[in-house]
Amino acid sequence: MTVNIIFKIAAVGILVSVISQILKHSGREEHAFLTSLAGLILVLFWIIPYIYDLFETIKNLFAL
Amino acid sequence: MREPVRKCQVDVMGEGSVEKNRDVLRIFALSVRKILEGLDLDFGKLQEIRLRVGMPLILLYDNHEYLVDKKIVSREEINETVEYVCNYSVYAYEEELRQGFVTVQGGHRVGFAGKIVCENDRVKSIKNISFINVRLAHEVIGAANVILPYVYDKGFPMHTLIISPPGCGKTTILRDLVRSVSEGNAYAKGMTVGVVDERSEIAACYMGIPQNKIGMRTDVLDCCPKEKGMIMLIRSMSPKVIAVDEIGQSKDIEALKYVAGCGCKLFVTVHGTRLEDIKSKPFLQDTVKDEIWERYIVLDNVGHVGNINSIYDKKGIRLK
Amino acid sequence: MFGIKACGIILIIVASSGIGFSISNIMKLRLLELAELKKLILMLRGEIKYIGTPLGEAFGVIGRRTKGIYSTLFQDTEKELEKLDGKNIADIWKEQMETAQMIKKSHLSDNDWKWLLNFAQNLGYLDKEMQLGTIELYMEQLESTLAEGNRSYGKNSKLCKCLGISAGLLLTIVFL
Repeated sequence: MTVNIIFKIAAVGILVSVISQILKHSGREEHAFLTSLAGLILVLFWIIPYIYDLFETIKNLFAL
Repeated sequence: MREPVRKCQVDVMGEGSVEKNRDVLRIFALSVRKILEGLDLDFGKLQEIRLRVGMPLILLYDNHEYLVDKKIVSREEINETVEYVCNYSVYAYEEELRQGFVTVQGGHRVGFAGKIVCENDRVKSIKNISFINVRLAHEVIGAANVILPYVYDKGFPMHTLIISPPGCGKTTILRDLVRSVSEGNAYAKGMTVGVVDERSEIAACYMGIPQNKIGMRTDVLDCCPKEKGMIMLIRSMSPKVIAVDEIGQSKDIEALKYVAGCGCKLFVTVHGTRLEDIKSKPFLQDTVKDEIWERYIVLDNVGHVGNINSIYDKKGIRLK
Repeated sequence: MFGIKACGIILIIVASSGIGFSISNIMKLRLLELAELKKLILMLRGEIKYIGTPLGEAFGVIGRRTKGIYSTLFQDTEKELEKLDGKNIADIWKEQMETAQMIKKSHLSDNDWKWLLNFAQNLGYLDKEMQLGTIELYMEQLESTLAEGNRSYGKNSKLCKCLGISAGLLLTIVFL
């Protein structure tokens, strides 16, 4: 896990919120919602392996 | 500059005009067009084509009537024909439809009949056109050759009154006389002629262009009332000769006197069978008494249409 | 390695922005073409109302006064109309549109073309008042389409451009 991923998540977050605002502003609420959702899913997609690793590590740590 | 004096040739239905007549088929609905093309007609002899809704197609060919009885004309075909005659633009021909006929390219007259819409005692337009009569143009070049020598005096035309019963070719002869005088002939150089074509029969203008040969120095007022047209021509086009067809009413005669008084010569036709008929017509008799007319030409159709019966001078003395 | 990445990033951003800008441009061109069409129909109305020119000649006059895609369409229609080949005017117009590949080359929407074809169906067979009436109706239709288009262009053009750029950036980040 590098620092890169944090920057990536941050950048995605900023951009998604910008796009979402633009879309909301021009009246396309559903598109805004979809973009936010897509951004969230993308970030989750990146995060999930690390979360899985986290739980594995905790499992191993406590030898459960 | 001396003009070369031209010879007149008699050209009855030369090749050029037959081709012109074949083009008349383009105004018909496709289905009717195919049938007419299939009939292998001599367009020199075809005179009329009549379409009536629900009736067979009728042709007047060489003075005989022929029925194309396999073909019953339908309303759609009439509508399609009207569309082509009006160049897809019925609105552009409102004035012509009001008069009841349209002159198409080639000089042919297409007459319409149907339901008339009137407004304030005037004919506004025709609706539901159900009857069409196409009269093909038949100009005869050289028809006036016989009378030319009598119409000129010292190289200048004279006031000429052509008297004829209906159907004897007076319009054809008048047209050729106009052409001859305008182009120039063995008796004189060409000179400016003005034509008031009230019924669009002499010049048969299509989009303003005469479809019949009426001479290079001829100006035409198309569909113009005669009495107004004659005065307009004198004022605007300075003709040496004015030609009108079928005079009869008092206002026409007043205009004639005005024209004669301006020094312009007249070629005029009138209905009648003999010179004596004119002497008894209410308005014309004054003109005869005042000896306005210098030549009287009487036509009939003995032997052939347009036969010259007799020619008289201003005093009524027979010349031929 | 970094150089290739940089190229990749630049390409993605440029491509994405390009798409955004070109969509915005298409909208603008459509509005320009609609405005031109409206001008031509106005000329047609003038020809019919004041001069009474037959359709073929009117199309020719209009076609010669304009440039661009409409010019050839109108002039070719004039030639077809003069042939008097036995087709009705809506068919001739449709054929000419297909030959000139109008629908591909122009930026008007399918709806716009449908309305134009509808209008062509009503040409020619009516008397003057009714003919002018159908022209007025179509002009109103064009005007309302134009007004709506202008409104939405104002909103959407900026939107498209920004979206284009941001989508490019987003894709870059995702694929970095």
